[in-house]
Amino acid sequence: MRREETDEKLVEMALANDREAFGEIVRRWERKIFALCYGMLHREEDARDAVQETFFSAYRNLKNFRGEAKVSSWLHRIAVNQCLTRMRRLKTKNESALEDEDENDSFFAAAGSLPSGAAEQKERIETVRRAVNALPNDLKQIVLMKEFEEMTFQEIADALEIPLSTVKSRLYTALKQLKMRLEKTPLEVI
Amino acid sequence: MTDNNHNSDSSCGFSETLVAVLYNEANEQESAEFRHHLAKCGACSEEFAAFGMMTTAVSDWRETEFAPLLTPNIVLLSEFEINAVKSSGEVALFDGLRRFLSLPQFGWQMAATFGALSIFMLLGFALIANWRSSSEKLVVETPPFASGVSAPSLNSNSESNSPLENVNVAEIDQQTKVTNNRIAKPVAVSTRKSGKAPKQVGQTIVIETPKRQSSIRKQTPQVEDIGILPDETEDTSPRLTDLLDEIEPSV
Repeated sequence: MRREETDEKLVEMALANDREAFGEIVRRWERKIFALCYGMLHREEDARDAVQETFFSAYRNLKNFRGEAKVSSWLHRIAVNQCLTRMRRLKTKNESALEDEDENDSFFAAAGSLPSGAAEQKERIETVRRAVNALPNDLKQIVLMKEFEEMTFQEIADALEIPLSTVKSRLYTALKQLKMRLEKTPLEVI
Repeated sequence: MTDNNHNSDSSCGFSETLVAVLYNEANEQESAEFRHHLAKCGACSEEFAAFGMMTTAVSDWRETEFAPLLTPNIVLLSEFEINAVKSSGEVALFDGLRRFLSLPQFGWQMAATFGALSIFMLLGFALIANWRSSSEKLVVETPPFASGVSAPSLNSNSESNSPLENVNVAEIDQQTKVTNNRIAKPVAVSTRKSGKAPKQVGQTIVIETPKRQSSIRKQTPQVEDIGILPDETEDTSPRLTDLLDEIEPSV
């Protein structure tokens, strides 16, 4: 059964002209990679394009895949590079207003005019989105891998090829920075 | 990691344990130690609660915006197409062939119709051009004769054995040339006087080519109108009666 094969084994089979093997890799990681791309790009269309390009690039460069690295690490690296490339492109075109706004202004809610219901939730989500987007890339990636991809610490460590303790400490730092940024907004809303 | 190491900017050394407990990935021992610490350290308790709110907010964001999205359908190219992409210069060819061959039926019908119409038009133009050239030849072959004089056959291959006709052919042909020269001269002089290149004035080029006779016939008025017909007094061509007398002298 292909589902019992490791990612590295599937890559070997794919290199032996077994297209189904790479298809299994896609099925395992497409949702997680999509989640990571969405968390970084914040737009569904951009995220879909990034995911497509990620797996297409991986398929084309299967021969260049080194066996010493994990497939998850390899895919995440490609996905992050794709997202960063698109973010630079969007920033150049001034399509993304998130990075250009004053972070202080974005976190203050209008006094006495808190939206209610769905609008309140939308406002809250927007605030969190901007706070996460303002994090440094290495911290943001860990937050997204933990919250969006729902990966375990060990999986994140394997994917990023860093020690387990480093993953936890970086996540702690990221959460602390988020706390500092969101303290400016009424936490009662959250 | 003791309570005395509490610092407002740190978690008393429990940072890694804090996040592990936060995401339910700590083992039992780590969890017990941390909860025991929380009972004694207000700052860490407050920090733990705040971090919980952060993760809840981010999870809320994920559930609201990302969770409803469908996973994209990843399309992998076939090996053939990938090789085509790798080979520079072949991409356009294969892609073009693939697109061309994937034309719908309607596209093929339109292409066939267009091709047939093009062929018919070309044939029509060819037929028209051929007809025009043949009609010009007919005009050229008819020498300008004065009224009342029957035109003998100019065909040297005529089956007629009459020597009379053969003689007429040579002399009449000569006369025709003279006549045509007289017709041509006004046209040539007029164009040269105007200073224009022959080709700029209608079909004056025809002066140099055999076709000039038909063009001259088109451009210039009929011979009878011009009155360039040789004067009867100057007509030196043998009369029919004279010829008949030679053949059959009056008895």
